[in-house]
Amino acid sequence: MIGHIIGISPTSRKELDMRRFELLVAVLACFGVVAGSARADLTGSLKKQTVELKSANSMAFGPESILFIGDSAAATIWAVATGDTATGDRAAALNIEKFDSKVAEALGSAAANITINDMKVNPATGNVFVSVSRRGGDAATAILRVDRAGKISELSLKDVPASRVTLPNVNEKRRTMTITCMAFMKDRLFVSGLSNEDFNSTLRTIPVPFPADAVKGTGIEIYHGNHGKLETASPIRSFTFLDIAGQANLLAAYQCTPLVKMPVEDLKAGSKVRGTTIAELGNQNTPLDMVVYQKDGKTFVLMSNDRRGVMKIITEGIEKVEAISTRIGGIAGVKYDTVSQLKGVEQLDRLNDTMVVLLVKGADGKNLQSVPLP
Amino acid sequence: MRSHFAIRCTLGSMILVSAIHAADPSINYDAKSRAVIARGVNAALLRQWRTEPPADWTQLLSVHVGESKTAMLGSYVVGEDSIRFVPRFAFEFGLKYRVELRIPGHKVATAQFLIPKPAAGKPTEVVAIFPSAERLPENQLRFYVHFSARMQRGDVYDHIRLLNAHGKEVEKPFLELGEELWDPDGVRFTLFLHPGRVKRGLKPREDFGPVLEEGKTYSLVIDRKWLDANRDPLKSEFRKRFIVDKMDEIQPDPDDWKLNAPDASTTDPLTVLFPESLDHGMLHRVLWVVDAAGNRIDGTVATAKAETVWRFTPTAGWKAGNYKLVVDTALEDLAGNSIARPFELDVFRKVDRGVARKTSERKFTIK
Repeated sequence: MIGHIIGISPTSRKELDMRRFELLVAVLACFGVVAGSARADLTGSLKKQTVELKSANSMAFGPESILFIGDSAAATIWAVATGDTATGDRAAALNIEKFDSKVAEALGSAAANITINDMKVNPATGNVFVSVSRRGGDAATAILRVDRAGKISELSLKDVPASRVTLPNVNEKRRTMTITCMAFMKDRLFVSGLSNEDFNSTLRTIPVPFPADAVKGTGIEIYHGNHGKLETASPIRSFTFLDIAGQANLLAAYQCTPLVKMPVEDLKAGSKVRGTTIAELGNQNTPLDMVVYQKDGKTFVLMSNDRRGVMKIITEGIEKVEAISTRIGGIAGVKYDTVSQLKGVEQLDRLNDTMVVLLVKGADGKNLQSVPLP
Repeated sequence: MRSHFAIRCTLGSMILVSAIHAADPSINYDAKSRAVIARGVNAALLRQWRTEPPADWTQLLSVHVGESKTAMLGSYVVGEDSIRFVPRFAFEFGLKYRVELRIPGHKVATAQFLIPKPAAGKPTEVVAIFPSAERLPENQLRFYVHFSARMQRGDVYDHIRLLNAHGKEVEKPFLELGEELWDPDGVRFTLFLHPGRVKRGLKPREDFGPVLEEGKTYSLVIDRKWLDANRDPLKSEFRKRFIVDKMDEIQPDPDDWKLNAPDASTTDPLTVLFPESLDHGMLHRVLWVVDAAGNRIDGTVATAKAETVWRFTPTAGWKAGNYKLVVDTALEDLAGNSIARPFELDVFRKVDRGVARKTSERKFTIK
């Protein structure tokens, strides 16, 4: 997912950025400063190299078609310039039946022998990227690109502009941390993880371009209330960014079902943050993916869950929702609808302003399908 | 006219399924390099492709799974007299592959081959499940399932069940994570009971109740159909039976531990006794010994008596002097209460131990 601050559509935001850029250049020119590239050139900060992945779990797109790839086995996050360009009709639907079989066949395998770990749409091109690994044996990993004509190709990781950052002290002896979600905002990459030993909540924030050394610090400890008296620090499963009354918030979905908001400006390395529980989604959902979108002038969050299916969270009035402090019958906090026609959704991302692309488990394999945003 | 086309078995680990069509070039599978090699191709074309590779290799040489139209991804290397296709993912045993060679000026050649499955070795089995205690707290958080060999990932939760004393399956007891929490060798799987049903006040617990109830007996069952990395089932089903005790809300405290220091000049273990079982995985990682100068002592760790005993055997003999047992305060008991914080923090209760402390120490002397 990419951190769209909502309230401004991507197009108008781009225009706004351009106006700001022009204004900045004008101001710098007034002071006789040679502006050069006033806007940070992220691709220029990358160095040509071969990216060797031990694993590929979560992915996220940043600006300039840069793909962040979380390699949990190596406790490393890569930033890779994909050089991705738009092909085909970006407004058209994208539907590929038995997508898992096609991916498996491209990798000389069978659908039962591979796992599609993550799926992300490049917001700059509308092309779909998936991280795939083999289930047994050598657990080989690849990043595949699906263009809007439905053609599947591999993202070459040989001699590409890239940079990496290592997460220290996360993989030690038999302990591993699986990167569960990543998202880029402004100049930072936010990373959530889940350990196979301790049950901690640490959200890491990594400056972009990546620092030369390993990421220092232990991340951010986040507590949230269960219902008032008890609070806990469990791992975040999935998150996205949401503008709430002019303030950028991180909206986090937890394994144990609460939905929690916290201001992005509070999320600094080494800090302890108390998030506000604004909903408890219940029924043992494991949240999978979250995207923010606008429709008919209103803002919604679409979230996939392993059991419930897809939920459409209505953000109208979210700033007025009080923290859940007492147990309330039914679902408390913000309102949501269950999109009943969407079932078996394993991956979800926004394809464009009007459609979402899904990886859906059907009776006959997993299909890639696009549907209008509900 | 089609003439007979022979596919050669280079290193004996390929089974010829069929040999159809014919042309001048030959197609081999080289088991050593796990590559498909086409030989006998027009030398002028090879020279041309060495300097200027074709735009789409798959139009000339393509490899497919079974009857699939999708050409496998891989790299193509043009040699003096051959084209070598190295697949992106190595060929898999048990799958049938089809090679199509369409070189201008040559007849189209196709061949199929099958990588045989390696001979089955000793069957993989569950060697242990931790915690090893027979009594677990009602808010037990996680299990470690240890296997004798590397396992296959994917659909693991289809092979794990929790049964009550009557053999009835407990509904939705586990936190099912698509990522699957394995150790780097793929031999230890971490299974969480659903924290939404372990923690109080959350809707899953309100709706379904706790997974485990005090005084009752349960069995954690590992299905034999769980496949290892060779896609063979386990040797047998594995059951861990346990009885449930009351909730554990008390944090482990290193001051409650009993240290038995060995004698100098021996390699006898330092033994630490805990008043309760602690997390097996973490006991092998977050507890260590340093000398008076703060240097970490090399040695091996073992646990015993349902993870209530920790033994550290040094590689070299103990020297007389002062030592410290150092513990990361992230160390948890069976219910996820760590030294630093309880699993659920009562915000109205004063917590004396500061959460900021990263390690805690206990001193001991070797005489």
